[in-house]
Amino acid sequence: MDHPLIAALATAEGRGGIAIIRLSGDGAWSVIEQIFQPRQPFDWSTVAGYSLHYGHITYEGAIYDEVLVALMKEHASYTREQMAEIQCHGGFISARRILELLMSLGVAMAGPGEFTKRAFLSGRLDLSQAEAVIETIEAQGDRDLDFSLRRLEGKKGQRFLALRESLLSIIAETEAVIDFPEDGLDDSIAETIGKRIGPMIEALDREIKKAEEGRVYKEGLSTVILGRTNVGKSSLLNALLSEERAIVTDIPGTTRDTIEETAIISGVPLKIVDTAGIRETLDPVEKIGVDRSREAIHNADLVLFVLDGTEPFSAEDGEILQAIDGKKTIVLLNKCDLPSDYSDSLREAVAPLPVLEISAKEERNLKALGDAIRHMFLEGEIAAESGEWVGNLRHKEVFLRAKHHLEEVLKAQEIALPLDFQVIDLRAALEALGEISGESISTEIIDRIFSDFCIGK
Amino acid sequence: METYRAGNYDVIVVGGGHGGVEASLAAARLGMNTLLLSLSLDHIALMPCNPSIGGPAKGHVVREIDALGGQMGINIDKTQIQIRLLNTSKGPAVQALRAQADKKLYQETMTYTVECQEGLDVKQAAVEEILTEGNHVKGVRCNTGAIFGARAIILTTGTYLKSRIIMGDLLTPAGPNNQPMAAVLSDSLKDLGLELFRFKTGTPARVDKRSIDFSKTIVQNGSKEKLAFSYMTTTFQRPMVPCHLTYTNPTTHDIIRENLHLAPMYSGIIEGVGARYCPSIEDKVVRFADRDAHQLFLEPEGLHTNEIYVQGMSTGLPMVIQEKFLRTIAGLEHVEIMRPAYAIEYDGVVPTQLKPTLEYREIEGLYGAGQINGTSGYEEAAGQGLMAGINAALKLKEEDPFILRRSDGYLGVLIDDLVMKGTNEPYRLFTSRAEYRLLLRNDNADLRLTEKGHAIGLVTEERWRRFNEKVEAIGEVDQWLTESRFRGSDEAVVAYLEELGSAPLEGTVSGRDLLKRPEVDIIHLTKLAGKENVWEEEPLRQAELEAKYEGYLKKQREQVNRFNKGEGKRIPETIDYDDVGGLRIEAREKLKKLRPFSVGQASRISGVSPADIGVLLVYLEEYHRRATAEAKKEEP
Repeated sequence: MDHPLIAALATAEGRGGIAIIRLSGDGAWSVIEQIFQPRQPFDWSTVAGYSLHYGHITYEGAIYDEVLVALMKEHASYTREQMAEIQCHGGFISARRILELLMSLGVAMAGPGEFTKRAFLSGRLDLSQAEAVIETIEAQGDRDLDFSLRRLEGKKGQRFLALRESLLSIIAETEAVIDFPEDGLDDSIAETIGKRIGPMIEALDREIKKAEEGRVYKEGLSTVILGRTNVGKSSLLNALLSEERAIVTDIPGTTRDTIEETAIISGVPLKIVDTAGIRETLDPVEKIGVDRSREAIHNADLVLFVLDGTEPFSAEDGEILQAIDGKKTIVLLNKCDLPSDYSDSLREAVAPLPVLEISAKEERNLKALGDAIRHMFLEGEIAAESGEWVGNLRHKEVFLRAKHHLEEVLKAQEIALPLDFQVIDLRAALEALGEISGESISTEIIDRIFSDFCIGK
Repeated sequence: METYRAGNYDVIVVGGGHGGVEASLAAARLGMNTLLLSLSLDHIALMPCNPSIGGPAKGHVVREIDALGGQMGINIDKTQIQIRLLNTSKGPAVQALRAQADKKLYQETMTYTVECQEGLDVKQAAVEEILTEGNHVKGVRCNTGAIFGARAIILTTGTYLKSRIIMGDLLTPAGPNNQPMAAVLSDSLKDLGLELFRFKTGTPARVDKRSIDFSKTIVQNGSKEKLAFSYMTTTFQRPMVPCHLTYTNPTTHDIIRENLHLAPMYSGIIEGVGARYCPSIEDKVVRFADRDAHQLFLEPEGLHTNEIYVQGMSTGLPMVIQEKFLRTIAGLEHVEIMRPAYAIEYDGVVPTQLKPTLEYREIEGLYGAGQINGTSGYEEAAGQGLMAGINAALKLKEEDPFILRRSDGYLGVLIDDLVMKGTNEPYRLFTSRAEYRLLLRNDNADLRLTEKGHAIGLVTEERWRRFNEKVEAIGEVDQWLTESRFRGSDEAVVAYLEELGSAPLEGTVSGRDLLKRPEVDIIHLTKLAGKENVWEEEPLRQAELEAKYEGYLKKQREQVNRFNKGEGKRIPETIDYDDVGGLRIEAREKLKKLRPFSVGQASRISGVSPADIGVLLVYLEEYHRRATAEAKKEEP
């Protein structure tokens, strides 16, 4: 392949509502074709040099985001390779999820300044821009290096090094037996490779899972909407979802079951658990819902506590306030479209929790809610995590590749291919891991052979 | 000493070891008026250490030398007294030939070949100085005062530069086997501005065959198959002499431990750096203290000598201790040492000062090959000698240099490692040093390199004819494998598969597909198809391998294609790295020092990051566009 397929986020992390993913290289469109559901179907083979399409990113039944996809043919693209750009309405976090999806489909993360480099090398940029290109590569290269080094610290680093270590010793043993057939080395290695690789594949699986565990961006913030009956929880949910999903009535207790829905607000995905309220009840049907709510609170990242802004703070409200003690909470005074005298007393009752006045029915002030959530999470912990996420994604890609190679070794063993074939994938796996630690494997293997085995004439 | 003009040559080779003979033969065969100078004409192609050639990676190199038209393969085939194929169960890529040589015969045969070579003069002399003019070589000055003019000089000095032999506290300024050494040549190299290193190596004792009780040892015979290194070898009537295997024991180790203070590596007498793969027995005992036995091979040194080489027992301990510990070993209780083991240290020239052509970057016309470059091993030396001889000749003929890539052969790996990475111990090839091992096989060295050798002009008519016949035969087998059909209902096929314990065949398949089953053998298929004896075994095996391992080979070829993209991006020799903005300091320093030929080579330098390569690519593009623009301007 002349131009390996690469992708990266083209917009700065954590800023702005729309995030763009850029994809370049051979087969860019065919990857997009796998995951893009255009609203208006079109013929991929006759599409123009530059075209824009509206639709959804979906994969294996899951909807990722509502997007605009720009398709660019070689002559019309920045890199002069086949390109595509995905503009994610869900913002940065949904863009991350889509980027992960692309990696899982075999697209590589772009290297330092790689788009610009490709653009320059293909003749797209003129000489005067060369210096700027070099600066881009330099800056990004430094940052990447920093990431990979930082990632190796701590427990995760130790697990990684242990994994690499066991792989290295298998390879050294194998290579020693191959290169020193007359040194009387124990050559039972061939029989034990399989047994020793099994646990390594499991360890890689655990690492892959861990890399996926950044639940917040993958699945969204687990959010509970709480409030007494009829304060407008379901209306709020509907407003957030912009769709009539939950049944909304004026009769107390009609939202019986807990419902899970994902809403994306200011780019932050919320996994919302609707609730039947947490008041004590004798009605067995309601009881189930209430127990679930307690559990939901326990598991929640965020609580949206809804108060009826037109009514005074009640004993029941007080109970809820106690139940959510210690949880990240935003208090919503609903029904701000109606006149009210209780705003101040309600604020006092819930202090020091942040309070917002909204109207779920009229979808008023929901943007402020989005900003508040974003402020609470993104610029705090999640923002700190964004560097880690890039690291994680890279690691995940590396671990997946290493795992693939180890599985190939097992396959080679199954069909009784000799050692030299098995070593190919063993080394490829080690090389993959080396992309994280940045070591050159050839000399390392040889060093290991001489420190572990007594060899020589 | 008064000097005098003794003659003029195109190429002078300094040193007549394995590197020197290949270098001088190659240069002379390419039409260069060549002179080979050796300290002693009794020691041309001497094997001062083990009496064997080959092994993993080394055996591969001998085949590569042969495919390119070198001499080592032919010579060992004529003089071997035992040959085996190693690693037969470990896969096609790592199988390798290894032969025991009759040392004297090897030397004699090679010496005569050199003496008979047209265009090659052989003279005994000690070179003391490399003469230059500006940054060009112009000749050598010998200890006799003789000055030989030369347009190119190849240094193949082996372990003879300021060498000294060490046995316990006995130090002798001498080359291997107490031969004269080159006492002043390395000073001349230093004066030329070259950076030197000092390495150490060693060789075990030679003992008297009559003093060994072979009944206490394990016999190891050679293969009865018709094996040969050279593609030109057609007769296989060499005698077969066995080797014998025995082991050290705790008593041996005790004696060594008690006398460690007398070992030069521990007493601090030796300054040179030794190789980890060639440890002395005292090293093995110290480093692997938990082992109570180390193996040693007793290898015959030739048909007409009682000397036996004790492989695995190299040592720097004094003679008296050597005898004492050897006599604790089963079979060696009454052993008589004929030549004691010794360690030797010597000067070399840091190989990162070389271009991939093995010419020193700063001194035009001066080449280095073999142990002077920090390698060890006859095969590694011979390979470099051949490459240096070829490149010196090509340069004088004003032709393009001959550079093998890492994907072309072990010679490519060897030279690339030396000039780009250097080495901090005597460098030996291993198959694990090659990234594309599956393609660099013992069985396909001719397919990889004969055409290149032919293009250079080293491949003889006869070799070329045989090569083309083989290629043609492989093509035929290949076609047959695609077109042939084996039916599951065919009784003979059923019987064959049953015999193998292979699953019965459903319907009809091609020979190629049937071969994908690991247990199926192509020779059997030819029998089933009535094609027995149509083709020789070699082309059959070649086609079989390609069919059997198609998937892996294809994958590796794709890797090679990617690798070659980087290798194909040449960096102009005149590049000024200070002018490349954005390189990190470490990368800039390394690039300035090593001056890689290609972007691919640059990317293998430790300390040069992908970002640096990106920067370099952009710079080269810029450089290229400027050059094109200027060229256009100059056009009327």
